Amino acid sequence: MSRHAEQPVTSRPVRRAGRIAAVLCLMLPAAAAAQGVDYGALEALFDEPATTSATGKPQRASDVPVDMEIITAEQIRRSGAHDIPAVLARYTSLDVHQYNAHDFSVGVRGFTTPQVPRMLVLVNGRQVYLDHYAYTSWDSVPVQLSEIRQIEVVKGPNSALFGFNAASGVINIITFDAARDRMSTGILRAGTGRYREASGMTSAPIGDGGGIRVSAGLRGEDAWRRGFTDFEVQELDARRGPTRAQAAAEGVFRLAPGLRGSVDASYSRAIGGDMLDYGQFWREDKRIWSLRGRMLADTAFGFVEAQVYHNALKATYAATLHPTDSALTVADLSSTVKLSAAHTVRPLLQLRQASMSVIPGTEIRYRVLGLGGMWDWKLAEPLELTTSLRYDHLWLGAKGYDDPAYPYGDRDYDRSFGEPSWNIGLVWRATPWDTVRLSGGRGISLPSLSDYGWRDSYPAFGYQDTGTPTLAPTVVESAEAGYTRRVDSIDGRLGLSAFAQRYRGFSSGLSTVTFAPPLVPLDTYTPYNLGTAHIVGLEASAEGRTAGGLSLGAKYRLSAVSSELAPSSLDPKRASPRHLVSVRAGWANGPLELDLFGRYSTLVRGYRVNGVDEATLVEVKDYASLAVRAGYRLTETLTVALEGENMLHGRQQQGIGAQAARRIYLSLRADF
Amino acid sequence: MQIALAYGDAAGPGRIAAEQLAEASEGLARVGGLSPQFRAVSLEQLRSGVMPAVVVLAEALPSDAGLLAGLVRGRGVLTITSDPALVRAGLLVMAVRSEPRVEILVSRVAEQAAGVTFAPAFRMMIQEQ
Repeated sequence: MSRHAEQPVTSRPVRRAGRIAAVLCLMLPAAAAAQGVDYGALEALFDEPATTSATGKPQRASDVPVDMEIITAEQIRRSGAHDIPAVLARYTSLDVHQYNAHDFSVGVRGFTTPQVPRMLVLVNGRQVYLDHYAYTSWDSVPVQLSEIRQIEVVKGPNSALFGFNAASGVINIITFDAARDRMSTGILRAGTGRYREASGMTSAPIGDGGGIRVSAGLRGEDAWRRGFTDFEVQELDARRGPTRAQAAAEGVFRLAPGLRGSVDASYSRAIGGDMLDYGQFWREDKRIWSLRGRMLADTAFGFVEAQVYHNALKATYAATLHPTDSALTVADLSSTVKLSAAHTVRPLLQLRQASMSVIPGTEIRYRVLGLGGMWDWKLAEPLELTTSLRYDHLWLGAKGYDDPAYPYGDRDYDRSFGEPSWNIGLVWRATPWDTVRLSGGRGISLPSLSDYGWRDSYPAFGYQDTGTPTLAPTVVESAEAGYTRRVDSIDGRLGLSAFAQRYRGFSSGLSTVTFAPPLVPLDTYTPYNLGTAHIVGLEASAEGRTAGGLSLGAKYRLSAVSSELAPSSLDPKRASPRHLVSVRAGWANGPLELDLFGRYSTLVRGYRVNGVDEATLVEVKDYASLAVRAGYRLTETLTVALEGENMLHGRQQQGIGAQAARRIYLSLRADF
Repeated sequence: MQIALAYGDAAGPGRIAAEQLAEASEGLARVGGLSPQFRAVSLEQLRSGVMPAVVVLAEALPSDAGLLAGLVRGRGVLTITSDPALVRAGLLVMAVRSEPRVEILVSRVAEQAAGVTFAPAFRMMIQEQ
């Protein structure tokens, strides 16, 4: 304990002390009905969220050796947003690009192209990021906002913990715990743009350490109206009204004292006009399901976690002949052990297998073996050093690719390679109010299965596509320094961080012709590595609240980009704004809640495909947007809210996709 | 879940602090399925009565801490104080500071003597010695 801990108990609010004593009862194994991380109890105890997304070890949000933001359930509820990316846009300085009413891309600090591949997204540690196209389809994430306890955002590479694809950041969505949280919520929402939504969740602890959680949601709306090309509307059905249906369930079981097991499953179907990475809307119909089993065992020194899960996808695109089938199976084993008062370690082992088939009889696949470990060393009470190191080895393979019309065959896919990743972070709690953090890392983003092995052919339009088996992964190297100061008088904090990152090996996607007749029968699009780019920037934040129920927050991000990239119509250089500002103000008094969220973004550029293959550089100038929520609690269980987004203009160009439409919603929420 | 707010000298400041804390903690909401019940008791009463799961020693003197450590030895009772020195001395299990930032210090020696163990995740978030 630091020197500041010598203050006597009489100086602190006694009620808070009583609550701490009560919560401490939960930390005694005799009282703990289940094991693992009790997020609710730990947050109540430490007065801040707990997380494992930084290092794998349970930590307080203020102690993590990475740049992290955590959005709480209360903030999600007050956001008035209906989508996870919209929540992120209102509380963080992440790049959140919206292309259609339902279609988002979320990135960190720059280079956020459509379907950005370098942000790994998980739900309770299960990857919902899609390996087949290396992105996250946000409308397919099988989670209702009302079942989320917190959204954890790691900015910067974290492949040493999560493996491939956590190259520039990680978003881990933590739901309420079926074994600990008893709650049910139902939401009905309707709005302009023919928006209609019904969703709900229930979480019910059962017996000693068991429980179930079930959630489901249905939604439909109109696509945004303006900004589609004629080709996209007529040939690619891109302006179809997006719809989605989702369901998920989890059962938790206490198998023995100190041993907990769980099984969860999910299904989602999402249909809508999505912006593809090379700048064209296609109607996609994605059906995704998952099944997972987990076990967690407490030991005298720590805990052992194991999970096996399988994700499967079937996607149908507007103008392709065959559906795309993809599957991912992951097995994880880790052990988090506190060896002594100063040392905690976490060895881990991961096996992954991913496959995709785009034409019957063909398959592209890879297997990955990942080995790594984390070592947390408390050098002195206010000084903590965390080091993570991991090595992943990939074996690539394919069958059915021996077609003379294409430049690559099965043998070209018979290859393997390995990549190390690492993170190091030093946290110095100079005083109970001031924290300084220095960190660095190396993250790896794999080429997508599509980058490796997509195949299609459109003789009528004179072109074909194929993947590139020799494509190199994208490597992100990062260094950053951060400072945070707690401001007790406003229950708030100030933050400032500076970062420098180098990206090597962006994929061009299927954006550019690389082989032409007579070498191949048709113009052939293949991915290639674009080169190297750098970002330097800073982030500043301030937040707090007053006794009158007013809460305020502001975030600013500067990302200055330089690059030496090969020509391509997938140019990430100006995909993200140089300056980004996110501000919010909320006020609550009795049953009434009012919240405003503003966002300002400077210029972005990106290519849009006009017809079959003609790409045009689109420039989107600075814009500001405003979202609002006014909520009124009718009874203890019922809340009615009026919500609005894009309030400053009826239609506004905010990105390279369709024009953002102003929409107003009325929602009724029951919490019981 | 019974939480005793213990004091040594009935005429000293410890009793006032314990009673203040008991009064302020009345009606605390259920925490994680547990309903905490606070009561102020003297160490003498603890010696002769039923031992609760948690004992918070208010305004403790080292002699009080030594007495309490003897009372809870091997009985699985968590002892809490605001004075880190009593934990560093291996007398009580845990020192808690709530302002300006919650800090928790645990003595492994006292923990073992009292027969208390903590959830692994919690252990990783506190300071131990």
